[in-house]
Amino acid sequence: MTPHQILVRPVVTEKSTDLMAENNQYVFQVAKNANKIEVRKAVEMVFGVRVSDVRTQVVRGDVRRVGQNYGRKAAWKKAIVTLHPEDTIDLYGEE
Amino acid sequence: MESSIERISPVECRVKVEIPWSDVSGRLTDKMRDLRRRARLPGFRAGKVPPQVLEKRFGKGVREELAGELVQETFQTVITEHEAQPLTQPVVEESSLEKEQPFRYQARFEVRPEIEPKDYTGVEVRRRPAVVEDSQVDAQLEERRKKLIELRPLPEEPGREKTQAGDVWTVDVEGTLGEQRVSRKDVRADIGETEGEFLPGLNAALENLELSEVGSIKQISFTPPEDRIRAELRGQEAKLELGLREVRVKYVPELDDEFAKDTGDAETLDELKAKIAEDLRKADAETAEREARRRLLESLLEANEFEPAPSMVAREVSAQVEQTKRQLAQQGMRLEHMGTNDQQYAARIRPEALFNVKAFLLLDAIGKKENIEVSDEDVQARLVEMAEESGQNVDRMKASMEKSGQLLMIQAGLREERIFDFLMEKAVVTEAPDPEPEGHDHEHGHEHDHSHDHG
Repeated sequence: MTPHQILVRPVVTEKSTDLMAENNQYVFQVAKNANKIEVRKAVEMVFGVRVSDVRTQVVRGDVRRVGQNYGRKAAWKKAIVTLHPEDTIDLYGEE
Repeated sequence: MESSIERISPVECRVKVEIPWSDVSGRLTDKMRDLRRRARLPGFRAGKVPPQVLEKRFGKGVREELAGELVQETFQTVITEHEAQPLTQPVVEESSLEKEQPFRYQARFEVRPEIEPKDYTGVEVRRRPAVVEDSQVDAQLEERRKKLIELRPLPEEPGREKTQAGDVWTVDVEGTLGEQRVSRKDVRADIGETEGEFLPGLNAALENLELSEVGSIKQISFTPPEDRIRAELRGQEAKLELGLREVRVKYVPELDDEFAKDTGDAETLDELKAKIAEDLRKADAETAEREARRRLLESLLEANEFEPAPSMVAREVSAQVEQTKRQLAQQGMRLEHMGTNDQQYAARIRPEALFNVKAFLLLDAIGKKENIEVSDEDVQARLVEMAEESGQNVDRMKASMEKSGQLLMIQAGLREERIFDFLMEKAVVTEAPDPEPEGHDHEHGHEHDHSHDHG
């Protein structure tokens, strides 16, 4: 898997912004079958930063109802990446 | 706020403005705060988006928006401060809104050229004398005569059984022309004439009808003459059912004193002729005056060279195009029917529009220099005149004109007239007929040189 296949998108929410500001932690949606080591390597390669820790979790998909039928949104893997204190990532980029 | 204006060409100015950061920062904060309240981003509750995120996502847009607003607001004040009269919206060339930095911008706009009119007195102008040809008088007389034509019931005439030239039939027409249906009541058919015919050939077809047929219905068929009918209908046969309603005879008044009295303008024929001649002379004199004024303008523009602002010319061109289109639309036509389109037509009238704009600017400049003004009383007098002509209430007319901006146009028109009067008064007017159109171009040129030697 290439780094860009591993890192699907950054997760930008109130909580993730707080983590960014307080703990220098960045949250990504990552490929479901990627492991912590692969995520670490992908982040280091794409953003050129040092990663000190990676924690992952699988977010269960919400239950959704269409008429009488119940279904589930796809589950996805979330990775919280802690960077070396001196490094940062500019997630928004200049528009 | 600091500002400066410089002229970069006769018709363009550049304005430079600097606004200190202290004046800008409050506005920017307000805008960001407002944005924060309104912003809805996925992943954030409404109103809880952190400022850094907003700044990163929208900061540039907000700053640009604020820059635009600031330009709009300050441009007016700067313009009034420097007493400039822009013709166009400012085109911002450079602007930078950075944190902790004064906001600077540079914008370009068009202005009227500054014209210092010169050599506008003592200009030699030729005015042709008014001429009235006898044939014109006769034509007018004939027009008047036509207006007084009466239709009278057919007199009892023993021995006359058929319609003849000079009779007028009233018929109801019903039928077909080729494939097309034709139906019209009260059609007038002047026997022996082809002008204003309902259907070409109808009048001829009615010739030699029996007078006894009045009140009856008659079937006829004929093919309209090819030279007088639209191409797509050529060669089609007209099959008509005619309701022959009435026949009357045309009574053409004799050209005598009685006729003159009937026109209500004169007591005798000679008097009427003299009156018509006088009217024609007056009209021609006005045309001659207009032509002379045009020539005066042409030589003035030659003596005073300047470039008008492109936007003014463009505005004049588009105004004229619009006007022509409106006029055409009233006849249910479009420019395309005249074998042209917007762009082509605009290109064609451009030289004339350029002339008009230059003439306007030059006249205005002369008017300013000579302090020729039009007072409200003058405008009022003109309005009264116009109201009398059209039979309207003066005040009501004035109010509606004020609303539509026509009042200003009348004032401008009056002023231009005044300026022209002044110029013609100061000009050296020679009365001479138009030169013969052929081979006299060179002589005209000589005349012109000659006049300059004298001046």
